[in-house]
Amino acid sequence: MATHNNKPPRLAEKFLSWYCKPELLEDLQGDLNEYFQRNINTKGVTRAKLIYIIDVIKFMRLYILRDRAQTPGTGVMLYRNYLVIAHRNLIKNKLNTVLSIASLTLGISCSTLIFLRIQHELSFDNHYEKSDRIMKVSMSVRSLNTEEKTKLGWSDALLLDRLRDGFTEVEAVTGIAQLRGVQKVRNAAGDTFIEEGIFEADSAYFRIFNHEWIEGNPKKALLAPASIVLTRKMALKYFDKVTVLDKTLTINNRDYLVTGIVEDLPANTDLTFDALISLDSHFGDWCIVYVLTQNSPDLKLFQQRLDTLFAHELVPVLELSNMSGSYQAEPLTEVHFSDRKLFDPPKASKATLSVFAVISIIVLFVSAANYINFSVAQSAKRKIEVGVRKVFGASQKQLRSQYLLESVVMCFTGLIFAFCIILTISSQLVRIGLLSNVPELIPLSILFLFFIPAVLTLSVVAGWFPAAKLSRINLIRNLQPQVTGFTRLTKNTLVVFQFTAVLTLIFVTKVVDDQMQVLTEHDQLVKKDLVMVVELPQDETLMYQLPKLKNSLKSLAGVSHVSLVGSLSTPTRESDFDTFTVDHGGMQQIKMLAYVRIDEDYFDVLGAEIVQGRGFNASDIAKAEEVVIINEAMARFLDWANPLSQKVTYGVEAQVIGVVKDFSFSGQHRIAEPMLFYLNNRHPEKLFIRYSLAQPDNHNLINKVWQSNMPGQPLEYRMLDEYFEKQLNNENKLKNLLTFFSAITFAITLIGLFGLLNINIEEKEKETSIRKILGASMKHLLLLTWRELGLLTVVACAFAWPIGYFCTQPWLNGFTQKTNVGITNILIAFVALVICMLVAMCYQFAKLRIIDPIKTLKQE
Amino acid sequence: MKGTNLGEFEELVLLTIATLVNDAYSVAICDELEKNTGRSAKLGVVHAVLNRLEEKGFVKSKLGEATSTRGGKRKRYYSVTNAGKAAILKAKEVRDNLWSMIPGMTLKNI
Repeated sequence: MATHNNKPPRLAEKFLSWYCKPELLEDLQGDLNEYFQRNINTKGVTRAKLIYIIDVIKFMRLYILRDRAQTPGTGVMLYRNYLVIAHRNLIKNKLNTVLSIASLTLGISCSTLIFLRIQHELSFDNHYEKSDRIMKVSMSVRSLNTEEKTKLGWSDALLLDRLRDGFTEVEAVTGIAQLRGVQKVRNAAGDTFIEEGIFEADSAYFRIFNHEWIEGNPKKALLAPASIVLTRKMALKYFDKVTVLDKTLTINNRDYLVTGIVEDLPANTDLTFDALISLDSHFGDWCIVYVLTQNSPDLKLFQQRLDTLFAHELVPVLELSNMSGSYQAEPLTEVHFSDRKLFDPPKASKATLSVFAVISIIVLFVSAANYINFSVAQSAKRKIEVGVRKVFGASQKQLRSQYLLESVVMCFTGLIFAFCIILTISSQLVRIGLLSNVPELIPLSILFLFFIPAVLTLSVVAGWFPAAKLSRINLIRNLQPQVTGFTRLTKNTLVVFQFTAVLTLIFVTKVVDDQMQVLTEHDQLVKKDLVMVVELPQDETLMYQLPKLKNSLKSLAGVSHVSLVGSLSTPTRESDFDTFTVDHGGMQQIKMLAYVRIDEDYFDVLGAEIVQGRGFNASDIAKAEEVVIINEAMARFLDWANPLSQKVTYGVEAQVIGVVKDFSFSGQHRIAEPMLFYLNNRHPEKLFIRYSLAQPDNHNLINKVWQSNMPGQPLEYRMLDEYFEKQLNNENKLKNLLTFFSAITFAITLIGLFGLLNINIEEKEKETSIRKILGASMKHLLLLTWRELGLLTVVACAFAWPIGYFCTQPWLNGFTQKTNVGITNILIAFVALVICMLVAMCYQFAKLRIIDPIKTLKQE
Repeated sequence: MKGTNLGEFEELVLLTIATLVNDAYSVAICDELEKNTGRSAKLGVVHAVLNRLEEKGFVKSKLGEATSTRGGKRKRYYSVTNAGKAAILKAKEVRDNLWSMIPGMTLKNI
């Protein structure tokens, strides 16, 4: 018999000693061993081992099982005890508890808000059933001369048939296009509104995109001509109810039959429409193209085939005008994060989202730093408690779990408060733009569950240091309650971290704010709040009224100029562009240029100055196609020394008669682009009215004139500055969010400062009393704490300036006119912090003042 | 303390401990029981009974010396306490009593 194999199975042995009461263990093991040896001799090793294992399992009887609850350190009782002590301790230091919880609540709500926002952005267009199989195909064009590339949100409408016929992997293709300009919509009762969100779509649309249908059949809704599918809000607007199947709606004098009503589109979609009308026969030149593939798409292969198609069909056509380009296929769910395109809703950037994610983590840690600081600063108070516990045999591990539990309690209170706050004020948060939509209860509670591990981590991070520190307190040395250098270092590091975070955030916010100022200041158009932009009804029969309307408006006392403006010609709109033949470097070249259609009063209304030549006048109207005005940027772009001698060919050769001073027309970053101004008032889209003065009765007077000339038409208008505000939406949002986060971080840091001062005053009561008796002035007393804090602030400044500087540079580089990031920005942040510190100092002053040596220095 | 009634198997174990005198530890008790009753005594069951008897105060135990056969583990030796002795005596008395009351005729027919 092999002796080396005569050991009983290890695992079974371990299992036995795990579950067995220690006092019974030895005897049992012995018995089992004896049997095992005996079985080896009679039955062989394998059988013996098997019997051993079975016996171990059979021994599991109630009286043998170890009573785990009684094992020190793991019992439920002990945790209850921890909880009681945590509770007592938190109650005892009410002020610090409240301050800690307040800062944790602020920090957690902040990061929850950011998280909700990120979640919202990431969920864009994810809600369609077939989202993962839908792709958007868009086109980009490239000028062969300048290599300038323009991305469009659209594709040519011919692509629809080519995709349908030539691509086997494609299950369905749909085109959708927004009706250009504004539409006049009338219901049966005769109420008329102006709508902008009407799209036409082919019948395949609902095969690809599923919507929640209130009424109607998705398969048939868009089949018949002159059908319309409404969203809930449109149905309510025109019919006061949602079940409006087979009713009629008149759009631009054509009757449409309502064939379906769908729920309003969610906020997280880039494809927003108020109503869909069926396509008459085919699209114009352009439409937005969506493709549904049969299986999950092979993007690379699909792109290759698109490239081949483009080279085959479009390159020959484009080459004629010295252009090239390509198609891009993007999965629907990634469209929201793609590059900015013309005629496409603004996109989110993953970079901004990650910046916000980082900010949320920083805010979270700033709030945790408060808790750490308070607990460490209070450790002197708790030394005696720790000492007593150690004397009674508490191990370091037990003490650590005690303090970690306290931190867990704090952090979870903060978490619960944070969610309660967000729930209660979510609608206000949506209004000021911090939240994109009111979160529903169920997703929010899932988020809450998701946050639990995160907060648990936070509480371990926040609690670990105090726990480790307090549990390591030496019994003998704790008789001298003095702040060690190590504690001071920790405190100072955390304070510097907080200050740096605050200063950087204020700094960055200030830079963004400055840049916004620069953007607004550099705008050449003055007094935009005096320009009224009126939507004109797209109704041929009313067009002949326009000159009369214009003249009678002009004669009003409060009105200085009136202008009729063609489609896509409002400033801030992305203008139309086409190819023009111009002279460049002595050669006739074809260029892709932006153009707008205006009338002779346009520059007067906008207050744009003609720097060379002349503006349009009434005599030009007869030969409108033969004259053109350019802006300074155009002259620069084409290196024209004498622009007035140049000609631009767009079908007809047009003479340049004037140069207008640059004013930014469109584009997020407001670079004045080369631009052509044509005289054309055949299809005006908007009416600009400039007040000579902002008078309250202007609107009434204008409305009167309007009603007499345009009977039955609503006067729909906005002021021009609103368009500009809207254009700066993204920057404004960024600014608001940054302001909010800096404010929160600032508040948290102040809470921390306040709490630290308070602990400091309490601890040094006796020291202060003695100093007072010895004749220390208040100045000396204050200087004791503030010398250090002042130094910390300066150190934080030294960190914050370069960090803030390098964070803002990439963002600023996107603008042509940049604000100066100077030392002033950090100074402002510094001053803001110092002012608040002064307030804290006043508090401390008052506290120190009332310390009475007679009361504090007594025999105890 | 649980009731001081003695079960049948408990009685056997108690008697076995008494017969083994100084060598009464679990394995030996098992072997002895098997030898005398002819039925197999499982170690787990015997342990449970010993534990119960100790709780009832009929036996007491102490750990002996370590031996190599048991992997260095010590044996737990059991001995019958006075209460235990009283209990088996009482059980015997009850039985004898009952035996004596059985009429001779009936027995002879067995």
